[in-house]
Formats: sequence, C-alpha cells, structure tokens
Amino acid sequence: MPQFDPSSFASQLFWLVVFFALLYQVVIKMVMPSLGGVMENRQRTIDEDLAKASDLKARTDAAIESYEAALAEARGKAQALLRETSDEIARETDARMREVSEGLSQRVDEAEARIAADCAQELERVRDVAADVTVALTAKLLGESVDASAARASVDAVMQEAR
Amino acid sequence: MADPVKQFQIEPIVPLDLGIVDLSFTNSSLAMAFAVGLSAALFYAGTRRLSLVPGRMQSLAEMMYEFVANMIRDNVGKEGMRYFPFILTLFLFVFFGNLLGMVPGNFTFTSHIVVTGALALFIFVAVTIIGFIRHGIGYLRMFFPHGAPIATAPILIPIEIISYLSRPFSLSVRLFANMTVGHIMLKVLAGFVVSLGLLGGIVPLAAVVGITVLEFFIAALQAYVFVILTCIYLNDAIHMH
Repeated sequence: MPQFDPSSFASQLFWLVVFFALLYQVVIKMVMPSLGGVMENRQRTIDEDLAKASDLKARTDAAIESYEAALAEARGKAQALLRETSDEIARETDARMREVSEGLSQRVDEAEARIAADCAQELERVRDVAADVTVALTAKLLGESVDASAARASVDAVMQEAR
Repeated sequence: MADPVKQFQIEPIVPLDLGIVDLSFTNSSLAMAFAVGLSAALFYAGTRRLSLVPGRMQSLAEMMYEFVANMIRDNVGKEGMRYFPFILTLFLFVFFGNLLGMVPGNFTFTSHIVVTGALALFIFVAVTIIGFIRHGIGYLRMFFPHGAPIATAPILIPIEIISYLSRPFSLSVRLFANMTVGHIMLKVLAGFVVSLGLLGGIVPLAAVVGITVLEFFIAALQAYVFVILTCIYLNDAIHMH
C-alpha cells in the first residue's frame, strides 16, 4: 500500500505543516476577529435585551405588588368601617329598645296599679250596693227592716265565701 | 480491474527534490490546498457582510463556528476556549479533507497514516505539555485514579500509562483506517459493476450508491470523532480526571 511507502512521507509532512499553518492563519486572522466579534456582539445584545426584559418584569411585579397591597389595605379599611358602623347601629338600637321597653313597662305598671285601685273601689261600691239591695229586698219581701251594718256583714261573709 | 489501492498513490505534481529530502508538491498537497481553500472561501463568503442577524452564508459559517465552540464548551469548559482557533482549524482541515476525498478523482489526504499520525502526535505532545504546565509534576497523578486502593497501583499505573501512550495511535489509526477502508470498498465494488456486465452489475452499483452515502456520513463523523477526542484529551490535561 502507498500509505507505507516512506519515500513520500517527507513531502506529505512538509505540505501538511504548510497548509495546516496556513489554515490556522486564516482562522486567526479572518474568522476569529470578524465572526468571533459579531457573535460576541450578538451575545451581548441578547444578554442586554434579556437583562432589560427581566428588569422590566421586576418593575411590573413591583407595581402589581403595590397595587395588591393598596387594594388589600382599602378593603381592610372598608371592612373596619362597615363593622364599626354596624356596631354603632346595633348599640343605638339596643339603647333605644331598652329605653322604650323601660317606659312601656313603667306605663304598664302604672296602668295595672290604676286598674287594681279602680277594681278595689268598684268592689267597695258593689258591696255598698249589695248591702243596700239586701236591706231594700228584706224590707220589701219580709217587711222587716234590717240593720244596715248587719246587712253589710252578711254581704261581706257571702263575698268572702264566693272569693 | 483497476488496483483498489492505486487511488492512494502519491503522485508528484510539482517535483521539488532537494537531494536529501523530496518535498514535491503532490496530489496529496493539492487536496490539502483544496481543503484550506474551501474553508477559507466558506468563511470569506460568510464574513464578507457581517450583520447582527446573519444571512445564508454567514449562518453556515456561524454554524461551523458554533459547532466547534459548543464542542469545546461542553467537553473542556471555558478554559478550553483558549485553544479554540487550533481546534477549529483541526476540524475544518479534517472535515473538508474527508469530504473532498469523496469527490471522484480528488485525493484523500486523511487516508495516509503519516498525515493522521502527525496530527495525532502533535495533539498528544501538545496536550501532555499543557497538562504538565498546568499541574506540574502533579500531572503524573493522571496515571493513578483518585480513590483507588494503593495496593492496586502496580496493576493500575502500567495500564493507565499504556492507555495514555496509545492515544495517538488509536486517534490516528481510527481516521486513517476509516478513510482507507471506505475508499477501497468503493473501488472494489465499482470494479464489480464493470466486470459483472450490464445486468449483474446493477447489484454492486446499488451497493456503491448506498456505500457512497455511508461514506459521506463517515467522512463527517470521523472528523467529529477526531476533534471530540482531542477535546477530551485536552479536558483531561486541564482538569485531570
């Protein structure tokens, strides 16, 4: 095989070195500055854009957060106000209720006392009437006059019994 | 039938015999010139009008650039980027050498052991020097893996030394053998097409078509393997293992 013929080795090695070095020069002088530069530039642009995007995102997040906080605070305030107002209303209602019911019971007591007094008075009059009727009836039926005080005593006894 | 190894014959184009050594410009040298020229043309076309958003040729050039850059970043890390120009040169040289070898009539310089051997030996020596510069005498710890029991040293150290020293051989023989065998196979099968005649020749012709596709694949793959192994050796030298 020609691969193992040493007579061509020197020439192959020599031209290998020449062309490899030439390609290396091409890479160093042409590829690296231009392509390396533009790709570095692009990477930088992308990185900057990404950084800007993340910065904007952070600011958006902060804005949303402060909005949420303000909303929560407002909601809390409204709730507190609502609770306060309803407490006040309840308190007022209670006071009025107590006041009104106190007045009412007082008037009921008064009325009851008056009714009781009237009742006693009427009862007394009924007794008088009953005694008078007893005296009158006895005189009419039996023709006997009865002592008024005796009639009263017997009426009392009957009423005591009836009670 | 033509001799299947005749395609590897070195033919002088411009004789340059200096008496002691023969430095003739040969078909091998011409193929190298083509590979270098094609690489340079590709990058010239790709970098003529540079823009932030690349055009067609710039994309192609950037793809090659990024391919090699990523290979170094993934296998060696950030420190490996110092050697990027060399690795890119190596990749372009071997890749276009292999691919242009697929052009009928063009010589495949990577099918010669002296070329692949010189490249591999250069890589081996360079990597070893980088290793010793970075780690000093501590680079010798390469030959004894971390955490292995000390009693295994008499066995492990010779094995590690042999495997280290065999790197340039495996690296060069892999590329040389792949290229040589593929081209011989193509020649032999192509010879059958002629000798089997119009009807019988169809089968080897189909095989030649298939193997040609395979050979293009191997040409690219072997360039990749050659360069990635270089990266792995470089990584060993920089980080040790």
